[in-house]
Amino acid sequence: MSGLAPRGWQFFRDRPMDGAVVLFTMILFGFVNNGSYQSGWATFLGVLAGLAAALAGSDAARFRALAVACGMIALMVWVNYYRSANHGFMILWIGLALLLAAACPPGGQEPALRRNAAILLGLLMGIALIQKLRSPYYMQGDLLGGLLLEGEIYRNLLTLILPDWPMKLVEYRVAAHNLMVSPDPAVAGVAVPALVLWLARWMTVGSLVAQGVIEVALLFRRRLGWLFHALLLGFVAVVYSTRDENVFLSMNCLLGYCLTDDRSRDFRPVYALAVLYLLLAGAMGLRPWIIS
Amino acid sequence: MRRLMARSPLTSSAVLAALVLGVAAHQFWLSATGPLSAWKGGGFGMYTTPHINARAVWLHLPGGQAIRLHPPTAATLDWIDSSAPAGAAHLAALLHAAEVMRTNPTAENASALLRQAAVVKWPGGLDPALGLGWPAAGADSQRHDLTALSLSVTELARRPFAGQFGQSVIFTLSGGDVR
Repeated sequence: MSGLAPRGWQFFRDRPMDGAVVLFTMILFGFVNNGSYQSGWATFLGVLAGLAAALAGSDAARFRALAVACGMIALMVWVNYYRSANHGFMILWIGLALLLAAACPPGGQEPALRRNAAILLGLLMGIALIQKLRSPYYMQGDLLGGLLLEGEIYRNLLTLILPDWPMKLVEYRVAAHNLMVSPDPAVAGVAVPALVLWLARWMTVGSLVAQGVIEVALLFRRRLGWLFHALLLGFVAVVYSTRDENVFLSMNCLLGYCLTDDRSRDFRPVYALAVLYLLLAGAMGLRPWIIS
Repeated sequence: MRRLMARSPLTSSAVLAALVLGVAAHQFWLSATGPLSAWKGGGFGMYTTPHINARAVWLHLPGGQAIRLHPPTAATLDWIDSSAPAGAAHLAALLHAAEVMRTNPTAENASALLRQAAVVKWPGGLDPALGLGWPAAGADSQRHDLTALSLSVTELARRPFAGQFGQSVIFTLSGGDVR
């Protein structure tokens, strides 16, 4: 069966360390083209170093190239510390996770990769969950409700159900604009359809549950086997349906890729395809009409 | 370095975890006790507070007039375009500094911004009711003393469950308090 698989499929399935470095470099390239604060020189050198790591002929050369890539990303994050989105920090942490794995002898690289990926995914989901739980703005449903009112989530889907939704969006935009042209504290009343409030409430709860489930599933990933990866990919698909977070989602996919073992190796090319799709679709601004 | 990391991979992983947790704790503390946006600073607090684009940076001039430095109005950008190169470069840098400081407005970076603003000849006769548009070209302009200026950052919160949008002031610094 393995002989019938395309070479790319085999590459990502059978060489996880090499595949992870290739995916990391692709995501780094996608990240530097997705934002306005990244330092041109640092990211240019970072991507080149990532490319060198992907093409390196020896473990020592790969380690040095990854060290340069991490140095460049760290420099960019440091210079833009309070301006950098979490994407910048996350790609740095992933780069360091790969660097630590690349330092190990060949037999120890994959276990180190799995361990570091589990640490990063666990901390990402856990800290994000805690931050949400302690945020009244999120817990009251106003955060996701606000994004619905901005037209950032399910604009076309809601228009199918609520024919005057586009007009309501214009109304909300005008209300926000009128508040933002003055420096004074002010309040404007808005009427929100009950369906939208219902959706916001369920999305708020659903997001917390989904992150909690991933966190728990991460602890039992060995016992869950392929189910854990199906859950993680399902989480990525659901978040993808709400908002353009393609670069961040591709980082989640890379962590999922690094978490695979021999029993779940068939998921590796699926993760690689997901990363490829997310980055390409993000670069092209492509989103299925129904969820945009 | 590589040998050191390879000698104890478990310790290396623990250091990575400590680094991530340390950065997140630092962000957690800063955003809980100050105006740092939860979206920034590496603490994975995205989607817990209004987006950074809901923040605006305002320069207050004597006489109750105010100029939105970020996001800049079309009239502001036109005015900069019509300025001499040196002046335009200074104004563009000032707007950039306003954009940077909105994520973490502190007395330190607001002071730097106010000092930059104090050397600019600002047009007079601004009309807040017209979206803070600029007067016609050739109108009187004036440089204001640093102590007469002040800076504020506002944040718009959409609260559908309360049936309202609300804007609040989350940071202010007057020229007299510049460090």
